[in-house]
Amino acid sequence: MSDKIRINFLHPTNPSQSLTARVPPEMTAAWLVEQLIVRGFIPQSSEVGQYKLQDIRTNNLLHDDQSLLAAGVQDGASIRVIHATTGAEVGPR
Amino acid sequence: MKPGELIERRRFDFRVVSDMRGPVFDFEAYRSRADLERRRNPITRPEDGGQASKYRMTLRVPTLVGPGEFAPETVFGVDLDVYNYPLAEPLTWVISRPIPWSPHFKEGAPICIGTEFWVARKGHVTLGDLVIHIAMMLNWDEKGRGPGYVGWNKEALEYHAEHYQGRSLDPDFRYPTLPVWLFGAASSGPEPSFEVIERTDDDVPEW
Repeated sequence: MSDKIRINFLHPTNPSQSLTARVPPEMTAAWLVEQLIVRGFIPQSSEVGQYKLQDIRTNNLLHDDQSLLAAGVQDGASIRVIHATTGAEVGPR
Repeated sequence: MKPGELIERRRFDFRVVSDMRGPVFDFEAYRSRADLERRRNPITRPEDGGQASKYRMTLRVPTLVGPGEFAPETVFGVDLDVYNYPLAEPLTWVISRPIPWSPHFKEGAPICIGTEFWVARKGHVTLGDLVIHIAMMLNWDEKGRGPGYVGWNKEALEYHAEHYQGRSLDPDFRYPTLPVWLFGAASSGPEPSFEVIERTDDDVPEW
């Protein structure tokens, strides 16, 4: 497994809340969302895929099964957790 | 158990049994009973382990399937998606045929793992422990469940008593073992994958 990278997660609704963690870069967006739920940073979603992750630097939206490495997320990156609504478009507009 | 905790428990179980794979034990993990029955979409990545609730397990433990007859392996199912897991024992059933000739195995019924093995331990038991327990039952390697116990197969029990005098089928059999990291071996235990460094929020207490 590769060396971990440092990621700063930004809360979907409260800009003052953030969580910084060191994570393996080969882990997927879906796994990261699960970790954030388990640690109480974001509430349990009622539907699969309700949360999405967005790299602030590139504005790239990570697919659920896409790893940080594959998405080009770098050490020290800030990632915004987006609360996606089913049927609605997510990401930058 | 909260949904998030259950996901973590399932991931933990998946990790434990993943590190027990070998010549004697192997498994496939699935998200649903339908996937298990069709053997499609198996869960293979550790990061997906939290979704693993159905297992198709194979134990290559020679076991009696009739008087003097042996089967080299037994395939069985395990379903963690039961109310109050892990306090409640997972559902188990035999998939392969013939069914082991034993008081603990019966067609169309759960494997009789015993309440003292799972329920009495109040959740402090892993899926890996269950694998070892069933392996030992297949090898008739147990202390017994008291005088008068006949389980589902009195005939098999009497046969075993007559031919093995209480011994296991193979006293030298080497069972799968729990991963060493489970016992807190510092040198072999991987560090937590998701390592929180800092958290800034007003409402959520520290953990």
